[in-house]
Amino acid sequence: MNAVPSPSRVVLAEDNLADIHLVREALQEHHVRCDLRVVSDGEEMLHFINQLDLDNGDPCPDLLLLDLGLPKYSGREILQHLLASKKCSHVPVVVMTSSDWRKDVELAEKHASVHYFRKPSTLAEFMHLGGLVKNMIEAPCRTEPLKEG
Amino acid sequence: MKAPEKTADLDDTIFDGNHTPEVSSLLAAIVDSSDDAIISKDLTGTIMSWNKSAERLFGYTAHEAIGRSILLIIPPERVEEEPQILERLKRGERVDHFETVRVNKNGSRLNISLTISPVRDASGRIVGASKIARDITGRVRQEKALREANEALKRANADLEQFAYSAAHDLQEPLRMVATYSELLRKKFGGRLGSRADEYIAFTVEGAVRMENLLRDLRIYTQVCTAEHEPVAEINANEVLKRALQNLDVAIKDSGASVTNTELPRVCIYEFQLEQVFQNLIGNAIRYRSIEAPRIHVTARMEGDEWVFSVRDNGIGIDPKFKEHIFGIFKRLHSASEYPGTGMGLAICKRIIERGGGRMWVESTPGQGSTFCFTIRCGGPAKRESEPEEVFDSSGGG
Repeated sequence: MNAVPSPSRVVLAEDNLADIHLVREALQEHHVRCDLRVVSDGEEMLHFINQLDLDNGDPCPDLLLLDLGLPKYSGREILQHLLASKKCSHVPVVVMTSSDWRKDVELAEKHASVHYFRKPSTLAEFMHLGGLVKNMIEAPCRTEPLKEG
Repeated sequence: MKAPEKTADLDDTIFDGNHTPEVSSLLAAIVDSSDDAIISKDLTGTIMSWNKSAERLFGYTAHEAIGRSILLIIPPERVEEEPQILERLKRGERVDHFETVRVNKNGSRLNISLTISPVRDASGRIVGASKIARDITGRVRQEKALREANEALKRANADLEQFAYSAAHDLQEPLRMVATYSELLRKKFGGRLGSRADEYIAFTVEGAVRMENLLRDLRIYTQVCTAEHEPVAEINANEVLKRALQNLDVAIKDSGASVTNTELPRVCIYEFQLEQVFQNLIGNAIRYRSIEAPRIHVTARMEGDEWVFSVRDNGIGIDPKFKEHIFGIFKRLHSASEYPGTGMGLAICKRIIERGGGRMWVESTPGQGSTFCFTIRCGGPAKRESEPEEVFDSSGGG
């Protein structure tokens, strides 16, 4: 059997349904076909990282799309946790926020692996997120997501 | 008065008793006519003299006070002040404008400013002290009221700024949904719901985008004062201008604008704020251009202890009667369809400059262009640079 490139694993940490839908639109628009896993609160996200650190056999995601305004634990806390993680500190992150607080921008400027995406109010600008994701995972999947087993 | 040398020796003459009766009565008259309470005491703290104002202020007659301890007018919680004052007097030191509290015969507390000087006898030995007490109760009360009013005002202002910022920020979220989803509606269903539906969707999108811009600028405006706590560093205005021009790259190219400048100084202001001021002013100069290609020239000159920056253009200009109006929040002179914008740009610039202790104004001749000026105070004297030469950019425009 020829080896089929496995799809990129993208985790979206976002609680707002409307934004989840927009992210999917943006990925579709740029033909980013990947395994998108949605995590909708901070606690669940922390648990997810901890499980990977415990070496549960799953690979780290190729990209994390992280909303800063998550319930329970903020995106900021998640980011710190991720950067301190044994296995996943290298994972590139797109910090998504609806604010243009300089602190949020600086947060992204401090870490090379962290990008900043201000959730825009125009659809066209929001769609740019798809292009950004495509560039970051570099080798976009040419296949439909494969489920193993 | 014919005896200035005598008044200079006032302290000595009171106690040595070697003055003539005329001088004696003159001195007594001066002391009694004083508006301040004048008291003298010996080094044990026993009151030796007590003028009319002391009677009025403290409520005791001279007869009641003389011979008693000065503790008579010192409230219990301040008795420890007296030995300290006596110690200083014994060393020959004066106590100037010492603000404290004394108590009068009724038991009321008075705010007092005290000046106490040692009194020497003929041989120069310190034998006592003269005490001038001024009632500052009214002043202290006014100061307290003023301070409280000021603090209340500051709190109210901070609350209001926080409110405006939060409101602008929180209103934005639902608005973003209206904006993006009405666009998504257009994208997915445009042309399939009939032309009127398309038009309605277009109005919704337009309104939402405009509202978004208003809220963004309102947020920037309120953030001008609240965001930064780190001290202002000295920055190179040339670099900042360069960055502002990079941000405006597209507008400059599209309009064929030429932007020139003289050598700009180093100034103390937050870098991103100066960048915003340059960007707004030059952006305006491009937006409000005449039929000619925009020519914009930025200069700075030293005036007193501040730098006066100016941004001059050859645009449509501003009617002098709107010179103040244009700096107000959400103030516009044109409809959004003529010239886009929120009417916040100049308000933000002015606030940035005024928060830094400067001023901003405009000089303009309608039809010929405008010059926006703003001042920035120079840094500390140690940091102050020599005035730069007026070097004009090779592309001219000056």
